[in-house]
Amino acid sequence: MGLYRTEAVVLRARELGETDRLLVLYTRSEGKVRAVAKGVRRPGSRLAGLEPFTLSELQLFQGRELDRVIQSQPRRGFRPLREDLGRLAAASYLAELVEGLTAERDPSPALFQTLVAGMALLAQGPDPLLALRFLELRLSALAGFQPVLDRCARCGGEAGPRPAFAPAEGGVVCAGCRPVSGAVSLAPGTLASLRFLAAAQPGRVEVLRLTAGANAEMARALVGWVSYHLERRPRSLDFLEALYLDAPRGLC
Amino acid sequence: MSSPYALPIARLIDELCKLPGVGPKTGQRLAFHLLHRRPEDARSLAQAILDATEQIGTCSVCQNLTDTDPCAICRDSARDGSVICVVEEPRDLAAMERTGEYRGRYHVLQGAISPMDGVGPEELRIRELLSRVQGGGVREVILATNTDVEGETTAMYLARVLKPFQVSVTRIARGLPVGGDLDYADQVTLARALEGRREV
Repeated sequence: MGLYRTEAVVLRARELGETDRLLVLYTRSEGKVRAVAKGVRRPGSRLAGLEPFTLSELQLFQGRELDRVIQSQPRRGFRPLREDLGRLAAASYLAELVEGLTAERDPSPALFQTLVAGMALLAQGPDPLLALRFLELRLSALAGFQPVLDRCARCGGEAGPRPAFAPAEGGVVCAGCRPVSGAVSLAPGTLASLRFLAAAQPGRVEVLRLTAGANAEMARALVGWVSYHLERRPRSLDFLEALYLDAPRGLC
Repeated sequence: MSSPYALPIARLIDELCKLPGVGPKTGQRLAFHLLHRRPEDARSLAQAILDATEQIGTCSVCQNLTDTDPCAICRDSARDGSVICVVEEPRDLAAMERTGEYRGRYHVLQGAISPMDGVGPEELRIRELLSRVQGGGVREVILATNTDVEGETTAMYLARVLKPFQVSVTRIARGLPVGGDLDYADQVTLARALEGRREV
């Protein structure tokens, strides 16, 4: 393919050698790609906007192992992500989720759009934590792990008056099918909110108003869900939780 | 597979290859270079490595690498102890010193917060900084961490935890580099440069 041009969000950047940076990008046309930005750490480098969470129009050269960034034109910097600690920590978590849930060179334009919409929500929305819950649901669905929410994932019957969320069972379970461990009890209202979020458009997410209890339940369920599919607990969560621990709203 | 080299050479190559950026080919090249030099050169290199690793520790005040405790900067009475410049790494301190513009003291965090890599505030020397500020006599804390995401995260976090103390917390300016091209700057940099404009 050689040279190609695409939009990309930088998920992660790591120093490489004296002046280079190794980037993990999520591109519109190629999906997740690892690329080197040569000389980008030199003052006056012409490769601008290759910081994490930035959306840029890039020209890349496909290499055998790593691609190389030839040109970059930043499109959206999502500036509030750099100026608010809580939003920045949330964006780190979003980037980690996308990196963890996708394979290299497996493009999904819908996932790309969700990522960009997600960064915008985290940058400007009034409630970054609620936005994360929506993004956990949407990204895992796009990556092929959509939780069953409309019935019991095990017996197929009604979720009933005392539903629970069990990642290993594939979603919501009724009281009779609830496993001994690894399940989070959900109030019926929380289940309704989960269903709403699973079907919502990014712009509609924040019409939802949750109680602290519902927030905490939803967070436990969905963090459990993505951790189950990533096969590890996302690393950014510790910092995010530490930041919001003393906040009046629910945990993440 | 057995090495084609005599054991001492193979061992030397092996050790050199543990250094960052040194692969097998470079390791071989360095090993043969050392073998072709005078024996006293090799001894002097070995001694320098030993001395550095054995004599260098961290300064109990600023956490910089030093061979004396407190370090030369913390002991220097001509420096202004009421201003602390916080940097990520010892090499950042060296960069600040090269400007010749700063006469206060430092604090070296020994890293930056990186949530994605699981590096949290407790992995850095933040507690030591807080107890220095708590100890009194500090007027200003300058946050001179990098302007990348990790550096910004660290600076915002420090600003938050330093808030309860009666000190002024400042962040170094971010904007265009000297010799930089306006056309190639990203929006965030340009916006910051515009905000930080000065009357001439």
